[in-house]
Order: sequence, then C-alpha cells, then structure tokens
Amino acid sequence: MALRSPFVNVLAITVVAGNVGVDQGTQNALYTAELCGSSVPVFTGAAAPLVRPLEDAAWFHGRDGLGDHGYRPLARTPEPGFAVDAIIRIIQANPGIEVITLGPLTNMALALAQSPRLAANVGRCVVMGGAPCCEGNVTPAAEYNFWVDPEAARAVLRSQLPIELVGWQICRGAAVVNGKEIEEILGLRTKFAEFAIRSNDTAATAYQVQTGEIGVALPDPTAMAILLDPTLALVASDHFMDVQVDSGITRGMSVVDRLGVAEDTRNRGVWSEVLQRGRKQTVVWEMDIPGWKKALMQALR
Amino acid sequence: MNRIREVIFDTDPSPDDAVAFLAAIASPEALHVLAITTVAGNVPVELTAKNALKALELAKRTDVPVYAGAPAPLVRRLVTAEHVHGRTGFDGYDLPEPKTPLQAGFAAEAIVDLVMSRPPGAVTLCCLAPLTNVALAMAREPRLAKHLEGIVLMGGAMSEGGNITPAAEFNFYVDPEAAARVFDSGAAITMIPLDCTHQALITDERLETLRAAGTAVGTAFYHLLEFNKRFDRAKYGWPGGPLHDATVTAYLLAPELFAGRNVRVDIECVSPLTLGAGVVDWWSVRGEAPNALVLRSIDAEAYFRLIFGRLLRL
Repeated sequence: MALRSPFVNVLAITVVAGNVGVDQGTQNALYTAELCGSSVPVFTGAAAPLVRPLEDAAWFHGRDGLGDHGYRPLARTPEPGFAVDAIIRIIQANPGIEVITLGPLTNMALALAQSPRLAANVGRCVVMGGAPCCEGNVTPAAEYNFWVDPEAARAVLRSQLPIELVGWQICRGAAVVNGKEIEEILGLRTKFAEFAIRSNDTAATAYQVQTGEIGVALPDPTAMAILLDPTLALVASDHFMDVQVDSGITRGMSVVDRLGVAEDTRNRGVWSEVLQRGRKQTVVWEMDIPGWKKALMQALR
Repeated sequence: MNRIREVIFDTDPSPDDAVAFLAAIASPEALHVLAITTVAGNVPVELTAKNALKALELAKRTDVPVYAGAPAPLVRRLVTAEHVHGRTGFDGYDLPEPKTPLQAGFAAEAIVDLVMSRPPGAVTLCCLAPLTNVALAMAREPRLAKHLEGIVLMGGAMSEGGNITPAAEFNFYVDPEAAARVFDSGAAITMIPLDCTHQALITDERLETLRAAGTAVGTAFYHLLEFNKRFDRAKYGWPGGPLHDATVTAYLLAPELFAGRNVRVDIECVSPLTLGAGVVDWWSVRGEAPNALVLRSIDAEAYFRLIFGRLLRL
C-alpha cells in the first residue's frame, strides 16, 4: 500500500523475526518490493525477541508466511548492515519522519536502547499491535506482536515515541475483507490484487477457525491505511499504556489506562516507570470502514 | 598454555573496573585487550566512557580503543550507584579530563565486529557491568555466543545476599533482561558472584602497597580505592571494600586462585522483591544442564599480589 501510494516515499523496510524467521521475512519483503517495482532498501533485523526464544506464527500464515505458494524474489537482495542501525540512521537524518511497525517491536526496542533520543525525531509512530480492552488472538489475553516480544513492546510503549496504536480489535468484524469484497478485489485482475488475496489464504482459513468470521482480516494493511490517511481513525484517545511481561496467563497483554486511574495514589507505585518515562499514547478505537476498504482497493488497482 | 588470549572488557568504570582492565593491559604475555566497551551502570554512559579514557591516559595506554555503548538497560529505567562510587564514578582523586577521543562506533557493534572477524573461540568477553551491551551484541549477531571462547563476568550473589536489594547484586539488577539473555545464550560463562568478591577486601595493608610504589598509577588508585572503601567500611563495618571486578582479570591470569562448580544459573526478571537475583542451582535440584561455572572462593592474598603487581607495572 505504501509503495504504491504517490503520497509517501518509503525510505526503508526493516524486517524482524515474528510470523516467520527473519531471513524468510526478508525474502518476503524483497518479493513484495519487486512485485511493486520498488527499489526500497530492505534491511534484516533481529532474529529473535529481546529475551525470549522466537515463537513464529506458521500455524496462521503458512511456513513461509505468505501461504506457501513459493513466492521468491528474483533479483533483489537485502542491504548490508543491521536493520537497527538503519532505523537509527534514517530517523536521525529525517526529523519528523513517520514510522510504522507491523511486527514484534524488537528492532524498535533495540534502536531505542542504543539511541533513546531517537524518539524526539519521530513525527508519528503507528504501531499495529496489542488488543486494547478486548480479547487477544494468540492467547485469550494478548495479540501476537505484543505477545511474542512483550519486553520489546513494553520498552517501546514506555518510550517517548508518539505512538498511535492500531490494535487487533479494530481490524475485526466489519473491517474484515468479506467474501464479496474478495471477489471485487480479484475482479481488479491486477498482480497486486491476486497477491493480496492468495498470500493470505491460509490466514483466512485460520481466522475462520479462530473467530467464525469468513473473510480476510488484514491488521497490518489496516494500520497502514491509517498511517497513509489519518482521517480514517474516527475515534481515538490518549492514555498511559503498558504491556504485561510477568504473568504467564496475561503475557503480552496491552493494558490501557482508559479511565485515567494510573496516577491515583494506589496505582502510582506499579505505574511509576510508565508515568516517569513514558507518555500518554494514542489508541485508535474506531475507524472509517468504507474508507479503509476504498484505500485497500485503490492500492491494489 | 602460552597462547595470548584476546579479550574485550565491557565495563562501567568505577575504580575497581579500571584496576581490572589496566591489570589485563599490563599482562601482555597472557592477555591482549582488543577494546574497552562501556555501558550505563555505576554512573551514566557518558561518564563511564570518560572514566575508561581517564584510566587509560593515566596508564599512558590510549592505544586501547574505547567504545561507548548502551545508555540504558534493555527494558527498564537506569539505576546507578553514585552512593558507592560518587557523582563521577571516579571520586577520590582528580584525574584530568581525557583528551583521547572515543571510537566512532557503537559498543555492541564493535563487540560483534571484533569477535566475528576472528576465528571461533578466539575472544573472551570480560564483563564488569550490567550486560546490556552484550545482549545487544547477541541480538545483532545470533552466532556471537557460540563464536566466543567464553564470557567471564562479575555478577550475582548466592548466600552472600544482594548489594543493591536484599536479593540482587547490582549488575544483574540493573538489566535483568540482558543478564537472562546472556545466560540463555549458550556461551561458556564463568560467573564471579559477591560470594567470591566479598572475600577479597582492600585492607589498609594491601592499599598501602599502591601508595608505597610511588608511581602515578599507584598513587591515583590508592586514593580512588580509598574513597570506595569508605562506603563499605561505613556500611558493612569491614576492614576494607571488596575489589570486585579485578577478579575477572585474575581468573584469566590465574584460574587456580579460584574454586567453583558448573551449575545452572537463571535470572529473575519478574518479581519486584527478587528482581535481578541470579538463581544458582548449586545442588542441581532442577537437574537442568549447567550454563555457567560459578566461582565461590578465592585466594585473596595471592589475588591482591597478582593484581596490584600487574597494576604497578604501568
């Protein structure tokens, strides 16, 4: 969507281990860039979460993360150098830059550990992750990106980055691309449309098993639509936020101080690091569904 | 046994850190110090980098490159130890502002480059500080842990109890997530906990050998360690403060001065009460494969002879 938008210039794609291993993820990014005829630099980043071993999502997205259809880049290779250094270099050189994260937050946490002042140079940071005030998709409590590297999610949410959180909850229900819309997209008869639907077919099956909803849930494109057009976020509000890293049962849970009680005397102790180091972050609660689907169709034309 | 070992010191220099890397630099027949990498810990990273340079200028060994590293732990806010080491981390003796510049690169990157450009098993990391830089280096290069000869680190506490909380030793407490990553990495780790370092006290008699030498290095460290000692004397009523970090160097030079056991060590990252505790399974009650050699005792007399002897070569 971003590569095909005339309104943004994508400076880099930085890949992190998550749904698939980092090398497979890099190949997938290169393939997609090739498909779009883009020469955007692609960098390989962290091969595992900050502290924990990687638990991928092959069960959802297929072994190669793109539904196991054998998509492979023909010519392109990743840039030399570590994705974290690229993130730091590019943000430092481009004050006000907009950043979007579509995976576990490992690379961003590593960048902040290396260069905490980076946050001041970022104009917007859209994060697809978390399941604010709703059930999760990988555990009853947590969304995958936050769950797989909760320490990284915590470090990023406790930073000064100006985050707009696009959680899993708004990518469901009416936001899901339903059967009729899938037909419409395929009817575009473009390589982009075909790739968008086909690469997500194992995910569509897994999603139906999980939620009973028929169609393709597209959380990352949903977040991208909001990055590209902020007016698609209809209802949003600012809150202190944190991620549970301690408990087994709620590992990776995104906890939003929706009622503004974190600063109350009884909560100040537990929330002290968030209150002292972090900032209120923006959580998107409702989006313009027809607008999002129009943006998707536009991108796949 | 005559191989000269290549080592990198990752450190947050207070005086005992400086003694550790200077004693190594002064032992070229056994150790080649490739670099000093600094991290936030005892004091913020700007000061730890500066202190490393001050120590090298004092010893006239500015040929050893210094890289600054992580300004804060992986996940948590930085906790420092000015209450022990003073505002600068080097209180007690005024060393001139360093003129030598830091190297351009980031410490974690330097560690990866120095280790991976050499054959497997060539380099030993000597870790005297929170393990943030080492964890960042492992995130950068997943093969790093297995490419090292090993890691010798000062950290943790067993039955000695903690020195920053009742349960935890400072280095592990400051960045428990980094410590957990390092202990899970598969690297060959030698861990020197407080149980060992608290047997190595800088008594007046030992300290006097530094002053008596009459050298610039001896005089400076006499005063720096004297300042350090005040805290321990007041706090614990000991005849002197422990010389923690130089145990790492001493182990590389003379492992026979130490005794320990191969055991499983895990780091507590969750509980507020015991955060950063290095849990040592001394009796193998869990039956897990060992991941560290934990050294529990030291020949203190021989340790001070060795380390102060090397320091006074400079």
